[in-house]
Amino acid sequence: MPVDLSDAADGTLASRAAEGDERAFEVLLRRHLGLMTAYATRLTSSRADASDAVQEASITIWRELPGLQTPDAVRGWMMTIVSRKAFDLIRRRRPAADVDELEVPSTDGAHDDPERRAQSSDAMAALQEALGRLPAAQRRVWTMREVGGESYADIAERTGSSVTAVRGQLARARESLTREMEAWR
Amino acid sequence: MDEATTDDSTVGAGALPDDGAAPPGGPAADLATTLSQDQLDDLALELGVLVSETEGVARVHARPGAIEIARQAVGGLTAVVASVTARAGVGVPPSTGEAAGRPQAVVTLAVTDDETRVVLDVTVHEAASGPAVARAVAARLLAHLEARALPAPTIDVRIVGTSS
Amino acid sequence: MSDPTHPSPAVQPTDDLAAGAAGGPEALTDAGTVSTERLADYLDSGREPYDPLIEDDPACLAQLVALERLRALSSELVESDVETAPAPDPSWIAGVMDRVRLESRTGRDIPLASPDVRSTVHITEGAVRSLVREAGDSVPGAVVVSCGLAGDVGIADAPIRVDVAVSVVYGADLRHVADLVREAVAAALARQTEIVVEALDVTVRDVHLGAREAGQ
Repeated sequence: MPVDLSDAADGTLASRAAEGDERAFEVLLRRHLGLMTAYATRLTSSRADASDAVQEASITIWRELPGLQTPDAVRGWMMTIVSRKAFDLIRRRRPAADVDELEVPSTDGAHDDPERRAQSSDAMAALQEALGRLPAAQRRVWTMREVGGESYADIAERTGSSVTAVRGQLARARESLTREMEAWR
Repeated sequence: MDEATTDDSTVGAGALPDDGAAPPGGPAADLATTLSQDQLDDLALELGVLVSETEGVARVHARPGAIEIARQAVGGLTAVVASVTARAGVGVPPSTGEAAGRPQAVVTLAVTDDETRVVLDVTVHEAASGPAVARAVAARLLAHLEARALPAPTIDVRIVGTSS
Repeated sequence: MSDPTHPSPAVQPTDDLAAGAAGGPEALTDAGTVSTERLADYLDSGREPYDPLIEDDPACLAQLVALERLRALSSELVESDVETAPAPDPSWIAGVMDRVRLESRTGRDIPLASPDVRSTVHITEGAVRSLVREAGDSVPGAVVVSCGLAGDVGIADAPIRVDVAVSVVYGADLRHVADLVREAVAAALARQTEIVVEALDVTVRDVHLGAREAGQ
């Protein structure tokens, strides 16, 4: 009976998977799949695209795990790979679009569902709507920072921008959102 | 290195002219070339069964890239039978062009004028002794091929895992 | 671009530059108060070290608290995303694992003795690591974190150093568990390989909670 890995630390799973333990990889993947999918869905605004991006990300994660110097930080590392694949996919599938002008629906779909809206708190629904009113570029930077947990440097690189510009966009997004949420209160 | 190449069907006789003209000379060559592709297919399947029935063997797998290994290692390749499937041993789909229901060989068999090379991977039972099992597999294959009067057999067995 | 709070003349604009938001006009709000970037950086650092310019100024503090509320709500939104996401399709995961298996990490081929010159017999480095992991895992309270072979594994009878790092369950006798792991790994290597083990080092790299302590 193989040892139970379901409670093993991320670092343990990443280390084992890097050395070829497929079972450990599956446990690690399942553990973070929800967050990876949520992130990809917000970035691509499409559940189908998100599913494809996360699948590509998963294979890349398996391939590149041996190169990860800090197994304990695997979760954040996995999220940067998800955003890499999500951006690649958007470029491939909507090549004509200027990503900054990409028409992003005001919600990510989950909060369109009336049943889900009833389940989530009103505050969250208000935040979701406020997010929808942000300019696409600001919303994207906000998503990468708040959902993806990515560093300013990674966000800048991924969006072809600078750390200073990213910080500025994030500040403006937060100002708009706090203004709307405080007004909502 | 892309080890996942799938060669679904038997690889035809590369060195033989397509019009089936007279084969290269030599008695071993005659033997090799008188074996039809079907016979080679059958032989490969036979060998696979032989291996899987050896005590201590949990599973037999195709060696990824076996055909390329065979091509590089031997010259004058006259016939190669292999099924290097991406999913060795698991849910192997029938390849196009083969009769439905015909099982895929996992043992790679490369026959030349001078040599019959057999390449395969195995998973052994954890409780068994891996090296002993692998040697037993090699010995069995050698004995089986000697009895067949094919060109000199060489066996390449590799343990890729243990199974509990 | 208006700042919802009142300007606070006590704040020095140069502080924003010092905080790393070296973007000039972007770093300051129109009113020249503490910038959102600076407040966000302060939140990121866990409000440490205590910054009186922010904490002691009611307007700044109000802005900081509003940002903190936004952050908390954002976390809730993400959690809600994760919870409301559909359960992963088993065939989707199976598809990923199938592709993963194609790229199994076999590593180097390690020779085994063959009595007959017509046969070559090997075991892969991947197989050896796998059996070392299983042997270590089989010891109660131990989970293998990492294992490796150092030396010329491609040469038969070359002396090889084996390293195993484990995580041990909290409360166990670390040395005793490490000894058991060493024994189990040595036995597995002897039975399944012909590696000449020059040294077998077991290190306890981590401690983990047992299922009971974790509240399972």
